[in-house]
Amino acid sequence: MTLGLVHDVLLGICLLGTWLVLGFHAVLTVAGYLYSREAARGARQEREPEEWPGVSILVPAHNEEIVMAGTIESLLHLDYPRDRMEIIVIDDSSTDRTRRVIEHLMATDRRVKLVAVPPGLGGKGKSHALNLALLHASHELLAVYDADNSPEPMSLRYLVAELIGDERLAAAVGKVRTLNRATNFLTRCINIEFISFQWVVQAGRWRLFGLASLPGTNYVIRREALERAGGWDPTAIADDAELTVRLSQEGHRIKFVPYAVTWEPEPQHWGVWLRQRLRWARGGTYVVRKFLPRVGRLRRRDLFLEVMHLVTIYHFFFVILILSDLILVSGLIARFRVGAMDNPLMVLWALAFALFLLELAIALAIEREHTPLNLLVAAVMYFTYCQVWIYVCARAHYLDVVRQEKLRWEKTVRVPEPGRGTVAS
Amino acid sequence: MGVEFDLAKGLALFLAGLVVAAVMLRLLLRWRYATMLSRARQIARGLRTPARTLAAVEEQSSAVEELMEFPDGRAAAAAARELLKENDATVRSAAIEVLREIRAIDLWSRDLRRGGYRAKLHAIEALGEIGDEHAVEELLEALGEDDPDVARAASYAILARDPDYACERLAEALSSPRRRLAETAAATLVRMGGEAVEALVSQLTSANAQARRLAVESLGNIGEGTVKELLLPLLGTEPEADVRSAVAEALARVDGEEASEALRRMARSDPDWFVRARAHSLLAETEAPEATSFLLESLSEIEPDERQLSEEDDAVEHVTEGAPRIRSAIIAGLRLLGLTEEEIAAAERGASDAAPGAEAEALEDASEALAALRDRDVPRRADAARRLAEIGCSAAPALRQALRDPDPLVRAEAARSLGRIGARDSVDAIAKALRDPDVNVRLAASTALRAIVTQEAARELSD
Repeated sequence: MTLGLVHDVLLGICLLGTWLVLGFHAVLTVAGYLYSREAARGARQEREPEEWPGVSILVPAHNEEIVMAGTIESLLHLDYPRDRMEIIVIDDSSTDRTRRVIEHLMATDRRVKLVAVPPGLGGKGKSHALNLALLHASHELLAVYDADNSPEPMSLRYLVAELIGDERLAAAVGKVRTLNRATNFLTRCINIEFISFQWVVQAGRWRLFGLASLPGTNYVIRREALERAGGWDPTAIADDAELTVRLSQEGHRIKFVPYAVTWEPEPQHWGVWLRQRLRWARGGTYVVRKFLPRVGRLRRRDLFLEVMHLVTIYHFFFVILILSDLILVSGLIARFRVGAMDNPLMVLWALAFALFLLELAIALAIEREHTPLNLLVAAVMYFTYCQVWIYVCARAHYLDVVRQEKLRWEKTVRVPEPGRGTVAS
Repeated sequence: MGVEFDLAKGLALFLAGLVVAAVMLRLLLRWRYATMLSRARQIARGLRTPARTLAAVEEQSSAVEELMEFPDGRAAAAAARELLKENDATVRSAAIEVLREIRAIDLWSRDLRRGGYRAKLHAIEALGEIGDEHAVEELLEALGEDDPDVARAASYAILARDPDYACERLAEALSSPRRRLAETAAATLVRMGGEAVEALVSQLTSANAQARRLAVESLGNIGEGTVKELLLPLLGTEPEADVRSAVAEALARVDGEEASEALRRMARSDPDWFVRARAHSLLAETEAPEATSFLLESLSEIEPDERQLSEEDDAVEHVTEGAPRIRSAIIAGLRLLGLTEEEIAAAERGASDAAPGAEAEALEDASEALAALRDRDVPRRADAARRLAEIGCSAAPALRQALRDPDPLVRAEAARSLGRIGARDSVDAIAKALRDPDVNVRLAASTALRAIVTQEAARELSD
């Protein structure tokens, strides 16, 4: 009898938690859809300023010889006045031919500039490299792109137009799409996850609360706001999440601009993906540890929402996902009449799963990627890709709490992409 | 058990009902459109007879009127569009009249701006078929499209029209502030080849630097025999460094001693550092005669302290502009020409042995930067304004003067440099720059003022 009560209470908590998160995400999905309609093509042309401000594009690079040329070429093709932009590539102690590739491209265009940290002295992470580049940037607006990105030609223009059109904004962030989305099951899952994150979390939160998170790439930020916030935190391994919270703390706003698009290749192997996500998870929990104690004191709504978003991802949902799995398994056992289980709860679970699928389907439809294959992958994703998140979170908590291992930067391994430029040297 | 069954069944039935209703609605709309299109086509038959007799003219007029008042605009447009393929000019002109009247061109223009990928390609095809001035204007706008397929389709549609008119309009588009549009226009002109040369040459004297640069690049890409004769004279007269750099690129594609000689001249004496750097790398890329010895000689002539190290971290090297960039271009060029790292390092060591004293060099740098503030080349003046910050407070008067420079790039650099040296006596001058017409200058001035105030506060605190 007592065991049954504990069981029921746990199930109740789990279902309540699942429905709270899913319900909130359902509201965000609707808001994201509405924002996708508002951000229609016609409106963006009207926001162009008469005069374009200067932009320094910062590209941190550590052993990026495979992807560097394609990225710089894409940046040079950005539709932005030539005399109003510079591209500062930070060669952060590369031991491969990254510097040669950069030098080759520097010889073809004056806008490409190099800040080089000699081998053995750098490799201290993206934030450190970005802070170094900041010292040499000439302009008041800074754009950040990862070394494997291919931004669409108009993306920078759209971001800058939005940013300078509203003085309350500290940064404008674009959308990141998956270049290698058709390569295998993992990249298909990442693609769906990214689409859903951007239309649900980014667009939805912007529409409802005027709030978005900095991604690690494809964003433009005001130098003044960045410097006032203290630059990038070199100890943070999720520089984007950390800076987002600090900017919110200063009272700045960040806008999501869905039509400013960059394409980036995502990990194709589970090992690489796990290392990357472990870094994100540890970076996320670092931010939670750093800012959670101040949430109540500062009473900033944006800051509260941002930190609670991270708490939801890395702590709350982690527990809920485990409990949810327990319900599924015990429910399945109940079907075989091994234990006692109320079937209406299974129906609630099934409805929660249906809602999860519906949210993904709406996000895919907004992006016009609602193919039968993608919908099938989305259904399978819950039982495969999403479950690995439990391992990632558990490992991150183990390393942080039990082992108390120091945070260090883990570079994502690059794979050559067909069709992207390379430089022979 | 019963609860589960009812809920699941109800949900499934509801969803199935929704799907069936959506399919039915779609089929109904399709059927309606097909019926309307068939009626519109019947009316459009009256337009097919060439208007050469009074009866035919009357029949056309009545068909035109009927189509204009047709209840379904899209069906009427589709029927009229089919007539654009007719051989007879009077039939095509009547069809265009109908399309204009039912605002089909506006419809396609809207599709071109806001529609999806397929709608855009469809609109380009339709506008290309209409091909009047209004349609070409819309197609020119589409050259700046985000999607390269759409931009390319628009360029092909323009090429299919009257070549003279297309050439003229495309050449004018080289001055467009939308860089992508201008570059696609240039690519289209290159695709036209010899036919476009005249229009491109007319742009060499344009007041717009971007148009001149794209015209030079396009002429270089077309590669007509006259390129050398057309472009060589520009080297002495062209004020814009980017255009001279484009001339160097074009010349590098032309064989012959005259072009190599021009590149060597640019490598040595062009006023702009990037043009000098680019000329060096082009000499290496084209494997011009005696390129190796020329590059080695240039390397030995570069100032030895060309390696710029950051103030904050002695190990960090920044290769952003000026002599370090030329050195970097020469070294990349020497690598291309097959020299080993050891050979390049040996050549560099040879250069540093001949170094003059650092102090004398610093003085020379300062006077050179002050002189460069009066240079006619804008990037050189901006570069000088930036370098003057390294001299310190004694450079403040020259920098205050540079705040009145006609070019915003120089004014912004001057404001930044004044902020960097913490020139307290320049606060008024910088405050004036807060009202500068250029947004970059205003931003630089506000950053500079903040920097001065911060330095001042730090000084007071330490006192």
